[in-house]
Amino acid sequence: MFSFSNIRYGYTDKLSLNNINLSIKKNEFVCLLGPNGSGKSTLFKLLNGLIYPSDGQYTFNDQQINAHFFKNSVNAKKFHQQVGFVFQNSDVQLFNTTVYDEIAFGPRQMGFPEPEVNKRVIDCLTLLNINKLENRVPYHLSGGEKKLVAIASVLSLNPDVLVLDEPLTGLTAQAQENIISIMQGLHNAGKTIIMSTHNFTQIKDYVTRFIEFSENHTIVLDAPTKLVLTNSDLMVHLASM
Amino acid sequence: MKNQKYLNMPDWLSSPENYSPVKQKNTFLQQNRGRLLNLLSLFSDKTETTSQPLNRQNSFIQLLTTITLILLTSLSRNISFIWIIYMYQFLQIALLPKLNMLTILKRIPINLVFVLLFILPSFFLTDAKTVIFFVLKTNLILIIVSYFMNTNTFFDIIIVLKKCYFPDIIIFIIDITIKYLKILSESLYAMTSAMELRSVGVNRHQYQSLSNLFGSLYLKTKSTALEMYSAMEARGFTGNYHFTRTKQRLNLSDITQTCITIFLITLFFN
Amino acid sequence: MHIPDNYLSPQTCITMFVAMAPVWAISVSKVKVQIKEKKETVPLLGIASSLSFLIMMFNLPVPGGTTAHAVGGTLLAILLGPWAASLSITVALLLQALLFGDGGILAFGANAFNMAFIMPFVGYFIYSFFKRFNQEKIGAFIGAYVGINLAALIVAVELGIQPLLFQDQGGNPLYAPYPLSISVPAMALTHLLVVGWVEAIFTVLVFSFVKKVSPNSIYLAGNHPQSNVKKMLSRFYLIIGGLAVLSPLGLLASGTAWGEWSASDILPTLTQNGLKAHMPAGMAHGLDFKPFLPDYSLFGVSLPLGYIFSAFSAVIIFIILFKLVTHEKSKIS
Repeated sequence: MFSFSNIRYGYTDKLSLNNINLSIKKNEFVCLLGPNGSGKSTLFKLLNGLIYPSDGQYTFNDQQINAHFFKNSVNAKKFHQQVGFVFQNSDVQLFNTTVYDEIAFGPRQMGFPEPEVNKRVIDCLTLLNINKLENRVPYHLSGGEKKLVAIASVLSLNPDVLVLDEPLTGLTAQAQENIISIMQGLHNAGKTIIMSTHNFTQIKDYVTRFIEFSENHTIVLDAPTKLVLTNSDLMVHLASM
Repeated sequence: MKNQKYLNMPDWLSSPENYSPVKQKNTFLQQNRGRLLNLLSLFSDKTETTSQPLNRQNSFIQLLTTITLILLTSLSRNISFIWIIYMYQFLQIALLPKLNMLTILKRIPINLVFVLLFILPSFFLTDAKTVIFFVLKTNLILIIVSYFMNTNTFFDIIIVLKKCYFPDIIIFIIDITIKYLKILSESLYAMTSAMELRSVGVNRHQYQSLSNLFGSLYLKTKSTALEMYSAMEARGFTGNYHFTRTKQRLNLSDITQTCITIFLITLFFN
Repeated sequence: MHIPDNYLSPQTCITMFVAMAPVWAISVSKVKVQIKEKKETVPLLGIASSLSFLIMMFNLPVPGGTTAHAVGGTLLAILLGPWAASLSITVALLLQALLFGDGGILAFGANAFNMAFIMPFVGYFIYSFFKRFNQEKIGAFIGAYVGINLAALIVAVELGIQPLLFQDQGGNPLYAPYPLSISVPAMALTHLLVVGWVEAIFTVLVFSFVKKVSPNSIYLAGNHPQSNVKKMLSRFYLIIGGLAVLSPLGLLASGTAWGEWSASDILPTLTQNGLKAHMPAGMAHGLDFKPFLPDYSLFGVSLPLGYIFSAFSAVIIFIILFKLVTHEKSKIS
């Protein structure tokens, strides 16, 4: 589905991604690990077409993704519908005056008739168990609630891929568990999930593959979970990050 | 228990979306993201020029020179004089590192287009000489300003304003403005990106969405201000601000620049 | 709306600086009082300047595929109060001029006058007038629309008087070449039809968002709104009065600076050059002033005189406009 070959990003003396080779298949549940500033967030921006690689090739469904591809608004819009992104800071993602409008923002743009939009919004609210927030103002919600609304607002687009930048950071234990089980549910429903976290132990029983970034902006580990779980040294290393 | 609720995954969410967007030429979100990125890049690296000994000029002298040169250019009616200032400016630009040189030179054609668009219709009112003179002078002023912009950072500006004896409160406000310009631009950049990623079709309430973006930014601004104030108060802020007015020493390049400027002034009046 | 350098003569620029100086002085003193009551005003002002900066650099789509940007003068005045808004916008304009080359450095006074004085104050007064009738949104809309259009008109006047006042011996303009008869309609047309709507719609929508989400975040004019408004008005009159005095000074300043031609030399040159010749501003101050009332005129009045006349007319219209607003207010209360 996704394929990166020899990707570099940044200036030669200040790279934030260095020689990244990576491919992700449909319905994988990938977790990125690594210290802050190791390039995870840059990779996410690249993945979502917010920035383009300085060097190397990025393809999505065999289509090369670059500035030229995004010049065509039809390509850009289709791509953004297929790949959903949940920002680390939910505040930047919520700008409507009610939770309902927030979730309806995508489907309305896709041109669905209002009953269909309504169905999608209600389904998302129910799925994430946030029906009671329907008429609240997103600005005043708690951190955990904002995160759920942000996820719902992306889900309503029905993306094939869901990218989540540190979805567990700054939330209560209860909220974290809630979000993990939502990701698991979506994975079971056939979605491709790519996320990043600092908490290996919490997520190790759900994801299918681990990728570790190092401080010099390269990938130092790329292994399926099965393999990681049989290697106790590796487990200790990842858990100590 | 918990997993049970995901058995009710709605049909539409478990099947691929069959969506084909309508073609629409609307890239202003991308444009704005680009502009914000440019702005943000200004906060990162500009140390290059200042590390070059030749350009480590006193910002205050530089501002005075810049204003004097703009004034002289603006008042001059002598093509030779304009020519001399052009030469002086390009000489200075030539001494800059390549990267800074390019940023200054790149602005020239864009600016020329704007000036020409403004002035060309006036061919009907005046003669060609006037039009050319106007374009030459306006362009020269832009180069003078670009040079100043490229050799001074936000922080140099604050030092200059302190030297000009701006009221402390104004300097304090400018200080905060510059610090928060970075933070707010980062926020706005992220918000614009987030909106762009969810703009998968036609937004019939574009202005509404954009205005909401700025409304949220304002509210965040306000709460940030309150937080910042409590932080300041916790550090013993009483409502007074005092700045130590640091002394920058004059070096050879400052003296040369001042001499050239004085020479240009005398030349202007002859 | 940002006037670059060399479009206005340095003499005009200095006049505009002088005109703006009392506004800045009063703003600083007003804001200092505000800080004594609410200390968090200081960080808020700084952060508001950065917000103002970002509003002015953010392109909004306009029908027809192009973009325009809002200034946010009225919006900030409604949200923060007009004095605080004026200071914030001034700082934003200063940074734009010094660090980004948006708007001239010499023209900074003129730009501040248009965008950090006229726009927030006019917009705010219209807004507070409608607020009396609980029609805040209409007030924000009309305030923003009128505010930006008035500012645009003043920009047009500033540009339009340049060819009348500053010419070389051949009567060719030295700065912006378009006379009032071109600059005013050009600015009026674009602002009445496009930019004004962008500003007004943007203002009312952001205002509604803030009002809906967090109604306490909107500026309230002190504990005694009535007296406060009155005080503000008296200051406003003071500034307008000062301007009336200054506008003819602007004329004089243009003459004293560069007396490179003697008055008697220039008269024949002017007439020889026929239609294109205008009265150079330098003459307004000169000895030969009295007999020289040529045909070249603005709406049938000789040019320097026409300039003074229009400046005074503008002032009078201002006074009438604000008298009307305050009169309505006192009647209701």
